[in-house]
Amino acid sequence: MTHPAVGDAATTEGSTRRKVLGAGLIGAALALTATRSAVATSGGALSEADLALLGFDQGFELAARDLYDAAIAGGADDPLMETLSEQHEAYAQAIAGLTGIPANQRNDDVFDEFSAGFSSGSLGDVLQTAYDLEATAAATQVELIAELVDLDSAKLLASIAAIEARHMTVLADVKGDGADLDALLLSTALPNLPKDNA
Amino acid sequence: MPTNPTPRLGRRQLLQQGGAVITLGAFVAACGSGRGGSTDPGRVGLAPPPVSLPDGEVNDVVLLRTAQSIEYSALDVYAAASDLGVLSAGQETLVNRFVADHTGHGDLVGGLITDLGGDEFRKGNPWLAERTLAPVFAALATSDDPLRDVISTAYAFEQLAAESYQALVGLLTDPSLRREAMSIGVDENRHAAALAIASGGAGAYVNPEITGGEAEVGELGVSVPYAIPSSFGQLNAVQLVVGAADEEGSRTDLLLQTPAANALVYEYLV
Repeated sequence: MTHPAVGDAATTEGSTRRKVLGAGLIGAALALTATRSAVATSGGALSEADLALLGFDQGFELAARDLYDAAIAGGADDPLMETLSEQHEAYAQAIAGLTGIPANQRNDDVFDEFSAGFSSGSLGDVLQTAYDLEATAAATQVELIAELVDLDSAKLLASIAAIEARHMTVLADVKGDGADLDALLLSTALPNLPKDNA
Repeated sequence: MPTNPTPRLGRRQLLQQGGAVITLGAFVAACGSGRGGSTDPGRVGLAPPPVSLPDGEVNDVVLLRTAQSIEYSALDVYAAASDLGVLSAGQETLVNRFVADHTGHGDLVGGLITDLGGDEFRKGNPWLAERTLAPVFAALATSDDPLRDVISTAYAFEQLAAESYQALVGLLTDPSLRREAMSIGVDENRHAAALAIASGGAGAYVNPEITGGEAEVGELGVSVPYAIPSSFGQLNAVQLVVGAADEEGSRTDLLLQTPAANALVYEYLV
């Protein structure tokens, strides 16, 4: 079926104009194809290994989002919790934009590991567990940077790690550890890696 | 009625005279061969010839030397801050921790440099020293609010260090070095966040722009520092406004940027 905006006019015009229009459309389509091709290859196609790492990281970020949402549902209705949930959602979406992997599959292992603290109903427990989660998240990004071959992916994870590190410091201050410089500035958390990379 | 005058130069004459001109031109040109001379710019007087800088290759060693120099520039900032004597005991404790961290980072980066067979650069970044630290230190010396300016300077340098390590991830060729760079970058980001909180308290936790609000603008017309300034780490220039206002109301206003060609510590620099 022809688009009505061009169909009627095309049937009433002479065959020469139709050919010109047809050739123009084919040319435009070829140009579009060439442009998409150039964009797709500008940073190099992602390898299967990189896609697996980024998919894993995306699942981590979605689990983090769901953990904050669980804390909010459990009564920790603080604007900071809402903000941090949205931050992690944004990270999962950014990875989706880079990889084409839909941001709809959280990592259940990560969720289960931290869910008790987030769902406890105690703000102190939520903040401490959130701090641990952010520390693990930042350590994970940093470790994955060394595993990735694609440079654009490494740069994205670096930009995420930079802010997840700051989440940690804010959470330390919110939970009352502002005078504890180790809590503010030091993290010994281990990364959470795919089993093949751990 | 006017009539056309008889042409004074006929077609045949024109051809003959044109041929003579071309012949003469070719003769003169032949006489001038081999007289090209130097193509260098003309020089006047007895000034010494200019010295060309060596070509600087940008490799992982150069990038790490630059990172190490930024650590030492940060140490220069904190030394100047302590010398002013305006920090409270709590602030001095925080600064001492930052000094220890930057010293450790400098050592860590130095180890990476020597592992690659390069020479360490245990001094401040020359470009930053001339273009940024010199005017900042001059402004601090005559500041109308030294504590405000010390905190602003420290935050700006921590932010610069954080952004520089993040930028290195996109520049270093060895993926394991990218990890080392960003592990330090994480620390620098936390320094910046801690300074923002020390400066602005709970109101400085999150930049309201992240949730659709507006960032607060401080007394010097610059956005106040936030512990969480954005959703993703940025590589923007860091604005630093310090010092007393001059008679026209202007203060020292600088933009700190992640190291580019001019600020890299090439291997020929010692």
